Amino acid sequence: MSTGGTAATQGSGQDQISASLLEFQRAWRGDRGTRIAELDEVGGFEHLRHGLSDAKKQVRARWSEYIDAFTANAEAAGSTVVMASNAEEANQYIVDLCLDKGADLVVKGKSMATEEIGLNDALERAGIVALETDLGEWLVQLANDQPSHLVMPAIHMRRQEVAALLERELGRPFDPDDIKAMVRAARTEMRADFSRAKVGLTGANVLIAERGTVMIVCNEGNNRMSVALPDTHIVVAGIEKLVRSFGDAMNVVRLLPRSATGQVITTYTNFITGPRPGQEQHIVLIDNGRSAMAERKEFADALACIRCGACANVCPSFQAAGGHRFGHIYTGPIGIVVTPFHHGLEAAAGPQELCVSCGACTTVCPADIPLAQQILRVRADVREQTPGGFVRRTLLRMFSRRWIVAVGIRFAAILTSPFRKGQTLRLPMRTRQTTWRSLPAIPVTPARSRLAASQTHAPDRPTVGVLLQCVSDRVAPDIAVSAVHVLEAAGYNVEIPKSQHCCGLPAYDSGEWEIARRMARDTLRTFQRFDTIVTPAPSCVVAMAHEYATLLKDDETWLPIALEVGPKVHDLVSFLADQESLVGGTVDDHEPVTVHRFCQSGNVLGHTDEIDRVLAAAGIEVIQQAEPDVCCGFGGSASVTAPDVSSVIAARKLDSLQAAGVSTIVADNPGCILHLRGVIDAAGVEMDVVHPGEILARRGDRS
Amino acid sequence: MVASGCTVTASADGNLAALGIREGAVASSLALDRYPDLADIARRPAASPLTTFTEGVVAGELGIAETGSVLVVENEIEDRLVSMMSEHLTVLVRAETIAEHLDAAETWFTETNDMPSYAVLLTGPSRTADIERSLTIGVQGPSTTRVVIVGEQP
Repeated sequence: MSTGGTAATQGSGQDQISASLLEFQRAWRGDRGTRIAELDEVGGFEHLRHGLSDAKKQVRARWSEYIDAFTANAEAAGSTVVMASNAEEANQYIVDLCLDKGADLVVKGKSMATEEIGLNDALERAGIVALETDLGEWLVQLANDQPSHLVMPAIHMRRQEVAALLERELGRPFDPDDIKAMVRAARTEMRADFSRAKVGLTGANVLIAERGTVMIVCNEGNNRMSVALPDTHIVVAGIEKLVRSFGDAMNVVRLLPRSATGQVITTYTNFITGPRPGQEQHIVLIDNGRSAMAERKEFADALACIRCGACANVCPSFQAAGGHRFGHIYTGPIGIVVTPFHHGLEAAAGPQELCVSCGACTTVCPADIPLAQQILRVRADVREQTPGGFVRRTLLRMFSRRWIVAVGIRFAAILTSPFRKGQTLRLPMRTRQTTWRSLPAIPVTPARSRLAASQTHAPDRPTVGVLLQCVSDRVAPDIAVSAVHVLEAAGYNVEIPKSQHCCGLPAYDSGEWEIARRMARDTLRTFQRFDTIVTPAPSCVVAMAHEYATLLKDDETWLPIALEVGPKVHDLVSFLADQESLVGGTVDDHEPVTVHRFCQSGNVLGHTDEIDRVLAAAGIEVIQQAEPDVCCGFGGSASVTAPDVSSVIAARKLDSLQAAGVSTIVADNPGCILHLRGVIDAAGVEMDVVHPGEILARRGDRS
Repeated sequence: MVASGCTVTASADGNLAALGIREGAVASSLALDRYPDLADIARRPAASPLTTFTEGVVAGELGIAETGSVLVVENEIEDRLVSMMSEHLTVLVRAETIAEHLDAAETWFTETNDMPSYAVLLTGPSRTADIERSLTIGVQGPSTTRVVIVGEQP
């Protein structure tokens, strides 16, 4: 739990939500980092999260047996356990039960499962008031609003709004700066409801099969009051909450609060086994799409989710868009993955467009869920199952043909030449795409033409095949040319196959997998003969070494080739950083630089300090930017499909880079480089963005 | 134990008077059973109506150093009210029951022959950060929680 709380910049609407979330995300990163490091004493984060993922997998493999065991043990402790296959069944059971108990008021602990099934509305239709008692949920309900975060439902509300809301509802004034008084007022209001309610309703964080125990974590104490005080207690929980044992449950205790709020443990970790004396307890287990989710192999692992919200807390798109837009009922990255199964693919269609595919969510997930890949699979499902997209598909099909791109780029270069200003274009018209980011200047001569004489064949030297990368080749040829020169200087024969084009990543990221598959096969055909393949673009390494296996999983011919070629592909920087050829002289008198590492270089390829090491060997000092692990906003297809979100992420990145106080940014991925150049130009900032290869090419032995 | 916003006091002899617990406090049945002196100053609350108590005392089964928590068992409503409705809560835990890791709680649940309908790993006072992430102590539960470690640590 962060104790931050200083007011973010005052603004309105979306700007205000983004500002609040930015402050929260920065504080959370620090708190979580400290708490996660403590886990080294008990085996470490990676070990624990694999354990959690595996424990849930074991249960899913024999799901009905564990449901039966939980049911038998809970019923032996005096509970009634029912299974609901969908939202209607669950709601019907609960409404009937409440009517039977003569309840006109139900006090509720925080429960995403009840939000998923729309229980409050169902109760209201039956004339029963469902009162949320978690403070954040209570405020959101009072304001007739929607929660915007899995763990902090009212994070979008400012203290001034809360004070005005309480004044309106309670009929007396509140000081926005006296949060304690507002919390006290809420407590007093709720006390009367707690003593009157005949039914209490909670969710569950874990269901422990070996004893029929329900585990609920809570900081405020409202959950345990909802459990204990009314004479009927109802639990609503998805069947994915089942674990085998208390040992599995303790693993969740270690991971959940740390990941959610950066706490070691919540104030209350409640273990409920049957009703208290004089009470009735009903446990409603819901499927509601979970079995279908388990059936789809790509998505089954998401059933290990413990609803901590870490994926949202680290997500740059979530910060920019807020939970109301970046989610349906389940918000954030995990929301995109589970929504199609609970609320239909259409409900996820809008939110998924905002994902920048940076992969940060996957790295922090305490249940080891491959969220970034699953979101891309949701995007592909959306493309396959919803009509339209003709323009996008046509453009990508044209882009997939090398000769069309060659001719098209040359035309574009000539047409835009009057608007060239340095490395960017100053177009006469301003559009949604260009007000915040200037487009790159397009050169007439691609790298491949400039490198026509560059093929060397010394018999005593090892040979590398170079994938120039479509962007470097056609739009930023200096990057591709310097990469080749650096490889030659490092003692390699360089071959640049003419049939190369694009690895297919843009089509993959856009969800157009059929087009991506063809491009993948073309790229494999071109490069399969090399033992070593080097590219200036780590994004192509991500595609070839990681995504091809997903794309081609049903292709008997090409999957083995993809698996064989994948490990042979390297990006220039890590290739150089890992060998002696790093020693190649220094760049004299270079001013200090800051580094922007491509988000997927870290999050997918596992790179750490490769760029820094290469620069250090060249004698260049690096000053760290403020938020080195945050995406630049170019990732995925969001910079085209959601420029309003991408531009907020880009502004955050620019702030972070400027904090380093230097005028040169070294970035390892050409896509990021062109994007950052455009953002910097549009912002009127004086900074250069270069590829490490461009700097190394200036070393003493070549200049 | 890990700090969690609560105070931790040691009491070698379990002398309750020295802890400053005042007449009129409420206590759980387990606390009254295990610390007989408590009966002179504290009583078990009535099941209803729902009222707030100034001071409450409960007794824990074991302490967990890893998280600064005490495992407290409260089956009946009268006992649950003590830790829920007291403004200032004292949790008594015997020194010899303090274990290093959460595994001890796992073992306790796995091995008990008398599974409680309700047990809680209690860690510090009730808290929220739901308004602008500002940490506020004392929402539905106690605004101060004090853990008293009774007896000599082995």
